[in-house]
Amino acid sequence: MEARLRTYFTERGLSVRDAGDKARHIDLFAGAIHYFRLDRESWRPCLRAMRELGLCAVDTYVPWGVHEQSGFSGSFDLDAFLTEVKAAGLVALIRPGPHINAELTYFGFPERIVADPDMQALSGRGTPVWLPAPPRMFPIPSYASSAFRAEVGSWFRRVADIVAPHLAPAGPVVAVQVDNEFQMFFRLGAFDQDYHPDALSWWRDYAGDVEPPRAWDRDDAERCLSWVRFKEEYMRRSLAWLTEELGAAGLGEVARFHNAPPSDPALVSLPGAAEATGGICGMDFYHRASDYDIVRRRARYVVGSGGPLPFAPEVGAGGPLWLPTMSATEQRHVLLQILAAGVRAFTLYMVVDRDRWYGAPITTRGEMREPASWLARLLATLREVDFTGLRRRADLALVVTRAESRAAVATSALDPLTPVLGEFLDLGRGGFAELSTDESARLHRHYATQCARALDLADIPYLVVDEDLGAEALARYRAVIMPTQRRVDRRTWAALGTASRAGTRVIIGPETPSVDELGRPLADDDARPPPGAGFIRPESLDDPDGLARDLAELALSLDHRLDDDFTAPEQAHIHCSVFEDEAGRPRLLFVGNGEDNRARAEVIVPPNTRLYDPIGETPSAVTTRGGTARIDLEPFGMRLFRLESGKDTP
Amino acid sequence: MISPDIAIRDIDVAHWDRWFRLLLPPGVSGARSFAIVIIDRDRVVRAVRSGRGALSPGEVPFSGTSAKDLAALKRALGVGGLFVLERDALGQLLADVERNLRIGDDFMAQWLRFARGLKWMWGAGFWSEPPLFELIPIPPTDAIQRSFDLLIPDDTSVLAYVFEADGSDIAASLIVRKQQGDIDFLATHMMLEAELDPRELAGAWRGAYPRIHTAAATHLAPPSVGVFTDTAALARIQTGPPDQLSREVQARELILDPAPVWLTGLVGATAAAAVAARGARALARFVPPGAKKAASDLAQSAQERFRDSGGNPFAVLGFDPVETWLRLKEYYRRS
Repeated sequence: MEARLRTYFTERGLSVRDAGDKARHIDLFAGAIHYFRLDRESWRPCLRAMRELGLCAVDTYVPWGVHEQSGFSGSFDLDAFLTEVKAAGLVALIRPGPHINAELTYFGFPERIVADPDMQALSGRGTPVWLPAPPRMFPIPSYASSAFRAEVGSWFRRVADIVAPHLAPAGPVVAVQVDNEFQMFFRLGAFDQDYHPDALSWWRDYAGDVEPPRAWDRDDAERCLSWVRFKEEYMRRSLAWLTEELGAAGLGEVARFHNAPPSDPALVSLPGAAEATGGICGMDFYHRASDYDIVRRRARYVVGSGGPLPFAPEVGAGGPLWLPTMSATEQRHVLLQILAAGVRAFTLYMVVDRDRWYGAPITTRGEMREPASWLARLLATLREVDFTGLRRRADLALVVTRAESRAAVATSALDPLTPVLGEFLDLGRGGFAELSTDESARLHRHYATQCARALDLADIPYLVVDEDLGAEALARYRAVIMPTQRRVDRRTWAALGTASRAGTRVIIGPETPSVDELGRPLADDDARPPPGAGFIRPESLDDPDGLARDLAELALSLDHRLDDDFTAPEQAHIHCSVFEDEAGRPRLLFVGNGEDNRARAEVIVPPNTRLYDPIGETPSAVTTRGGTARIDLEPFGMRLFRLESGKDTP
Repeated sequence: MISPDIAIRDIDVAHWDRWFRLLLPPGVSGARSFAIVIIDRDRVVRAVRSGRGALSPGEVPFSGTSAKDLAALKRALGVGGLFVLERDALGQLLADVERNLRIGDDFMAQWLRFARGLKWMWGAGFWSEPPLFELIPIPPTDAIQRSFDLLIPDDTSVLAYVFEADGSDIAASLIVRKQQGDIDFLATHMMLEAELDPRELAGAWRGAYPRIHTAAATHLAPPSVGVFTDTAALARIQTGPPDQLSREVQARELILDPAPVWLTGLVGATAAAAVAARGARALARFVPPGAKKAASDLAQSAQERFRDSGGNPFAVLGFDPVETWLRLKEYYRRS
């Protein structure tokens, strides 16, 4: 994968090919710093503090709007900053946008760009599409606009003039991020955008010479569903174009990545973005500890679907004032929740304090403050146990499908309200699909949520796998669970059959799909379920315990390791994740509490195993009696333990 | 009102969080259950209750959009807030607003355009219970800007500190600066922490608050408005009678310093309104309806004189902030 590049992502991190073609491994534990928001004199102490914290990489945006206004000198001297990064013994991830957000006015775009009608995305109502972001709302650009694309190409060339001499292996720049949180600026309402003439030209390339729909029409469902699906193509095409532009500018020889916004997996496609950029795609996490289930599910999606390296390109260390506030304690739990799912690389965003942010662990003068000491202990521990070389076994996969979720978006009674907001509003277990007038789409989401809950209840390790990965990826698992209602993507249905024939146990249902992703009837042969497929019972929707029992039986039938070690058998809200080394020895244990109350977990520990908490306020061993470790957990809290040889506490 | 280059620094996020908890009525910040009912004329298309998911249209006893109907529907659905929308209302709102938004307009002005769009649809495509747009006035943007300019002079700062009632710490703080008509700087007590220890300050805030003035003037701009109180006094102001504000000032449980004329006028107006209202209530027991009306008119005219006096910065807003405050107080009491 990407063998010709100077740097490339591996399952453990990043490899840098030196002049002699020898690869050097880097764990990707990074922190965000915005050089352009700091006095130049602060760079050195801040970078030194990042290194002392235990980070090995810096991540920075390169803001188009700021540089267009302020040039590239003084505090904006990117060339000098990268020289400082190298001198500090760090590597750099560069994010030149063009969309960066960064809580900058106009999300970092120059005002002349967002003000140009030729470059603005158009709504189905013929108006610009505004993003209500403080401190100024602005009309979002159309990535299909040829005028916009020409400007972006020119911006990338200006960035590349400065960055190219700093590319690895001689320089510190090891990877480039292609754009940021591509989700059409969070406005994903089915018939909201983008009706820019150049976007409609993309539509015609995709769908043929048909008019784009502007509202849901049950009698023209195929065209409407096709339009919603086209937006995924719009994303791929945009990211592929940006990747090409970066390459043409001279930044194509290092690893590339993209970051999906914090989002329900059905509203993004990590494999789609990874393929378009020729790299990997992770997801950002800005959550409260109480988002426990959501964080774990999304992190499992990153691990199961993002590429060889499960990467969280932004994990909140502090936050902007306009998101629900997150305390440092909550963010510790969230980071551990992500790691417990198997994410092996992350960027703490922000590590160095800055304007329009709170809670970063390093001040603008390079002084450490809370939660720096905890982060230092965590990073030291991850290194000590060789975390990126450990693995959490997961033989089961829950498949993310979009045929029904596209229908949910298309049939939303509140269109053009974005489903992103629908997710945020806590509408119920169907999320944004609760607003759908299509019962099949709504029920599908209910079953998908219920399956994830049941797997958690049964404490079965699983990953969330995107249908876009195809048959080969599905066949890697001993069993895949894919809730189905009326619709299914033809390719996914065929992939499921292939995986089944290759020996993967397939669970579908409760319904057998009868139409494809565009609502076209499946022919008899196509409609047949995969050979040997099991079915989710319809009554499972209101019986999570029953579904958990069914899935536990499935795991047992697969000869899955279901001994009691490292489990809390009587406590359904306690979740344990064990990480093993290459020899299969358990080395690390995460224990989480899925409830909003303090809990004492009673975890069964194999003989001669000692649990040691290396990151608590006072690192210490956990008392183990009679083979049971009693572990105190905060509400929605997560703790990490190193597993050592040792006897029970007498 | 808000600078596009606003600097936001030294934020204690716990304080930010606490401002919302202290200032929002508990019923709003605590119980956030709501229902959205989408209709096509008089037919329910879809209904959703927060946290509980969709209801089939048959399960929604929708009988109309009158205040009485909406209150009954809210009760039947068992939620704290109800929003009813015509199916195409959101599209129409966006079409109207997004066509008229301007790049570079103030953020407040941009939101007011949305609010005015919603108010325009109020009763004709959009309804809510409680009736938000009857409670909250939406003045013109330039009126707000003019009032804002009269309230807070340029190149000055505004300080707001709420201390814990037991004097153990600062509960919430806010420091802002105004320049060229806009708030261009926002911070919390952390900005001054190097020279003002929060706990020390909280233990003796009634005597120590002038040190905050000095520090703010040194590092930012001289204060033109300062509000200092504690959590207990704030709760009393929110739930007590209309003149509780002036009582707390007199008892030095709320210190307004600097206190521009408009601020003292506002405090006085709440006291005047309370006295007039009490007078009206007392008279009502003994006097015939004609005299009762006269007493009521007295209270009304006290508020109108305040609103219409050329010297007060709220005159241009077109509504009486005291009246609005008295109406909103009900929501603190109910909770």
